Amino acid sequence: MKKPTMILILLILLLSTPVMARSFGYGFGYYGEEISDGEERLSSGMEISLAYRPWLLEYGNPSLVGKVALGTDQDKEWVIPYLQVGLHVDLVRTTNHPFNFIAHNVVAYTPALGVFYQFDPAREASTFTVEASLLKLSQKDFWYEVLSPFIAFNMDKGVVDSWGINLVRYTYFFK
Amino acid sequence: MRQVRLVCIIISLILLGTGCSSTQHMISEEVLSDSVPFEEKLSSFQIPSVQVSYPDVYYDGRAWRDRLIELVEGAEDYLITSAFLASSSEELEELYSALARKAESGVRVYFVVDGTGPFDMTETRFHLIPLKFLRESGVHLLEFNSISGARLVSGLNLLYRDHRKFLIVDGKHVALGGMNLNYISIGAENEQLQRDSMYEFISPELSSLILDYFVPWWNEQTWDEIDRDDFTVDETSLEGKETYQGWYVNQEPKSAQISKLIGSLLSEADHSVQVLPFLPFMDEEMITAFRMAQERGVEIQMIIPFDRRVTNRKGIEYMTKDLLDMGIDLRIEEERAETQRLLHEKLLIVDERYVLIGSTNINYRSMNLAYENSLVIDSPELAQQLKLHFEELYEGTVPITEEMAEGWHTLMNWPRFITAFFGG
Repeated sequence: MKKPTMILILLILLLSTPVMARSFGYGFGYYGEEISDGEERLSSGMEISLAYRPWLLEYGNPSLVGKVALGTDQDKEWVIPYLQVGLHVDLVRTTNHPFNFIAHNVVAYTPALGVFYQFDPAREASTFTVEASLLKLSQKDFWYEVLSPFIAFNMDKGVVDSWGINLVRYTYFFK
Repeated sequence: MRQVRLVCIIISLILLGTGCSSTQHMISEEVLSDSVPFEEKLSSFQIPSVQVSYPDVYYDGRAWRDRLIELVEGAEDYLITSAFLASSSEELEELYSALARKAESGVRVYFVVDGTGPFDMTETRFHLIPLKFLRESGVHLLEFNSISGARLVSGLNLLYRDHRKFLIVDGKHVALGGMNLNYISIGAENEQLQRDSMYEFISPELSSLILDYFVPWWNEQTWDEIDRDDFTVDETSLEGKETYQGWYVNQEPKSAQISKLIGSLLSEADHSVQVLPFLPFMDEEMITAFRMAQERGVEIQMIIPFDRRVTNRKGIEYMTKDLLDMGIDLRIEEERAETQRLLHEKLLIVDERYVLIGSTNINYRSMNLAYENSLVIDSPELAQQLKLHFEELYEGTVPITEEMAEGWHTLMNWPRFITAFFGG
């Protein structure tokens, strides 16, 4: 999908939806990433995200998510390895699962897939990233994601550009 | 240098917090206006009026517990209750067993407890059985704004707490007041039992109003969603009974509803006000509102509880220097056997006519950072009854003098004050 088309779809999605209580959220996570296309670079650090969740659909619930990572590489230099914006979709929502014991209140299991346009400011490289949040639990005001792997493709070259994992990410939706 | 930076940050946060205070509405033009009648003012603030019966008043926590058990056992369709602090204990086993049995029998039981409940630092902590076991019986238990490591991400939102205390049974019986559902509120036998009050009404209108607020709020918190239409009220329950006009506020943080309500009451006052604030951590606007009423010639009496918890007491004592600026008859309970039982009651009586009851402490936190529910009742009979109760409490107090306040206003007490100001 071309960038303008994707941005247009995202804009239409944003503008055509009523803002419900707790639609907007922010999150903090911890990432690790390896760049495999070209000179190999490793980095890890904090990821900050913003989310817009217009609905609470039981199946295929979409959210707009933007992220920025800030970490240090293997030379202990500060880096911003990626900026991402894209669609994060909860495939299904169920409260019938074995993880309820870990939360104070009823928590839903909401495995999710994300597709993002990714930009690496240091290399000025644009990629297409897919992320899987298979261990994701949700409450009305929180997402809890653990061990979410992501992989970025260089669409021009047709190769894997980088890959990584988000060890943990907590997103809070405020009123 | 680091300490200076820390102090600057704390001061900035305080200025930020108090700068956005909803209490400015207590002395706003619309609240102070002489030309708008009290009822119209409340109506313009979207504070709805309701008809309520004359309430049964409970001052003894254990008597309220026994009445609660009766109400629970009498529930036929649904029961909704909310408490800031709630936990079981040996003394409360009968109550919580009754709730569990009701849920098992098919009665819908919705129970809200604030997320600070498990961190109850009162004497209850030695008698605290968490309520999670109620879920096994089908009780719909919600812990509001839980406190956990992950949820620290919500930052200052953790300051917002659900301080409401209420009960609705089958859309007929409604209770409001200051009592929590824990050991020190309704369980303890000795001096650990707090002095407090609960008011039980018959009122379909009040039941409806609380349900109108409660259902969407509940659905905003949990996947366990409910439908307002599934909660009916008994419209006939007040027939043949004498009714009284009331105004109900269900406050969400930052909504300023309670500030407007209390500001309007003080503005309405013509000759007398009696106040039980519980924790009187007031900001400048609140103090000004009381001072303005006093300067109009209204005789205001306020009783500050004796708090045997040293940290709280020292924090309150620190505050008294500012409270004296109100120019009112400011009293503090003497330390004696009776006052070892903390006076947790919240009450405002205006002109022996209007009575404000509910969960709201007369302080900054309740006005700005908490979900609260309060009811004003226009009833000279009730005001007279509660004034007698106030006068009994007044007997055991002494006036706070400038010398006392000055002696308490020490740097050592400031951290206790500032902690209680935002957290008390």
